Amino acid sequence: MNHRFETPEGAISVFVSENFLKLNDGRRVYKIKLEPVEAVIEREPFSGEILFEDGNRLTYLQVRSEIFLHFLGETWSFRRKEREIALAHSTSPEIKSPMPGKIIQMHAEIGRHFEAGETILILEAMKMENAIKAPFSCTIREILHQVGEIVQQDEAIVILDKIKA
Amino acid sequence: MSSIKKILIANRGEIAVRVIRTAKRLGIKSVAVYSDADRDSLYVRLADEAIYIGSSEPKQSYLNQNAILNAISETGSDAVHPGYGFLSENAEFAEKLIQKGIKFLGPKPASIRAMGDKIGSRLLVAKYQVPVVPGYEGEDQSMERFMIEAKKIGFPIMAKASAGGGGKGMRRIESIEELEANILSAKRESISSFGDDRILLEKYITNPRHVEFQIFGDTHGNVIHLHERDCSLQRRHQKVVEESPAPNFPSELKKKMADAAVQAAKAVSYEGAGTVEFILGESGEFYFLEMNTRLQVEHPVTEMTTGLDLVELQIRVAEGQRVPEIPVQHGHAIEVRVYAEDPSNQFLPSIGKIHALSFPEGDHIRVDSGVVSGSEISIYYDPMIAKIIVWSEQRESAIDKMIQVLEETIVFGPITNISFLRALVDTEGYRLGNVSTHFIASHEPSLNEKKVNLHTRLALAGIASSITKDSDPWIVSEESNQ
Repeated sequence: MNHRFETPEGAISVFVSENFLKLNDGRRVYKIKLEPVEAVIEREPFSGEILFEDGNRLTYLQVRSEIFLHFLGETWSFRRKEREIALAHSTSPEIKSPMPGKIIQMHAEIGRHFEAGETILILEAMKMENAIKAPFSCTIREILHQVGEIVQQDEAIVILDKIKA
Repeated sequence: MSSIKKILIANRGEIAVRVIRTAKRLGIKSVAVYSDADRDSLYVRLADEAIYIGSSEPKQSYLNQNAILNAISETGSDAVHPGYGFLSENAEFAEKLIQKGIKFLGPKPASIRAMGDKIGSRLLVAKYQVPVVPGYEGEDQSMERFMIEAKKIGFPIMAKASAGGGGKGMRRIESIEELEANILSAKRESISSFGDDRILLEKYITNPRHVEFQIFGDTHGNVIHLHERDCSLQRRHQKVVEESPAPNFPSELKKKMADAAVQAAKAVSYEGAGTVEFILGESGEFYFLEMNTRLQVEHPVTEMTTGLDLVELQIRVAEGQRVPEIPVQHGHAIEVRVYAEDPSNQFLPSIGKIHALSFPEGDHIRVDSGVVSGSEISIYYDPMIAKIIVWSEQRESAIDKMIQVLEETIVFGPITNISFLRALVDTEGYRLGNVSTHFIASHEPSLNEKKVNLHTRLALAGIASSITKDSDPWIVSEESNQ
């Protein structure tokens, strides 16, 4: 499985295959071998605890797009890198929800101008934040859903007017 | 005197929880007061009654005497526990309570006033043969006079701007030969910083320790001490680790300091719980710093080593009972203050929601906390999450126990000082008891070293994320396309 986290050194992808991991910072790939997992234990009020074969325990809690971890007496957290969804080849005047989710930020205002690639809204889905970007240079014609609303897959959220180059 | 039936706690957080716990055990009703920010706080839920007293800014609520006085009459409370901070050392508030026939669980207003004046209190206790830091703070600013006074005080000496602060106009002077040049330079700096070139001299104490005595007085004129606490591990005058007994503390020295502490309390006919703080020098010289006329944050280490409940003792003394015999000091107790602050970023407070919180449980582990999973650390109050106190027969085993407890303490949400505390109590210097108020500052960089590096942190985040099954098919497909 693959995950992507924000770090002070930029976004880093983590590819997990049992206890063998690969980290990719976009420049290099680092291979890491952790101790094999002996058991995964349920533990309130956390998401759970991983017991490694050497006896060390990793306690973790997922809160929206952030994961908190506790290991060897140290605590840290990572935010999952928000995915950037630019509907690059889209020519449709509608911004449709690529997945079911909740609108947690809305930058669109009627008449506001967006360059291609600028973030129009952020959709939270599966505890991930997804930045939905303008597919082309445009102005906002209509806003169909507001912050806090839940939208279904393929539901139109914003309607755009394309600006001709 | 009559017995207390209902206590209003004019405070919040962990100390309110701690007072309510004793009240419940004694069958006394408890009343909490709360601000907007504390509406859902643990202590509000634990109290028998809770009264809203105002908005989150302390001035509008916990320092608002009228709102608290109204809450007292509304609930028919017959006593007030002020906790620490807020109104705990406010003589005017104590006076208003007494006028209304409400018992204030603290000393007489006159004692609060006498000890609240930091210069006046030193002059006062000095009359009772309690040693105070030798110094000179006179109108005569001639160099001849400074020479005479400096010889009387003894070197090293600190010259400070009378109007000073922030280290400006301060000079450490090692010998008589250095005196004149340093005083002149301190005067120049002082006049340019404060527009005032008056200088005072004070004995400089090398590697000072902070040792304090818990004092208890009753309404019959008896004053006892409940032994000492060493609070030398401080950061910018904030205590970080406290313990009892003090390490490397000869019994003859302890006896002298205990006598001085009782004497200082008697100087103000002290009633109730108080703490006499001393600065202790390398060669066993000690000086009165101040007396705090309230229950201190670090009182649990005294409770763990004497078996007494100091809040109960405050209640009994207010009811007119006599203080007990001096208790035997047994074993060793250490307290650390867990804060929502970032040690790697100048200890700035780290506010926000505590998503999950867990402390280990066991014999001789005590956690005094006012928060639970889901609580909010707000900008309005001290960002303390908990006090962790451990007890063991010996100091060494108490340190080991504290390290284990800190390693198993988990706070997810705000950044905390937990691993900093763990590194601190595990230093060789602390284990040897070679403590001073400069200890933390001189060890700080090494106390922030991390054991788990970024790559391991990421790998562990990856493995935990894979198990939470909140994986992301979108990224997987992106990778497989490459």
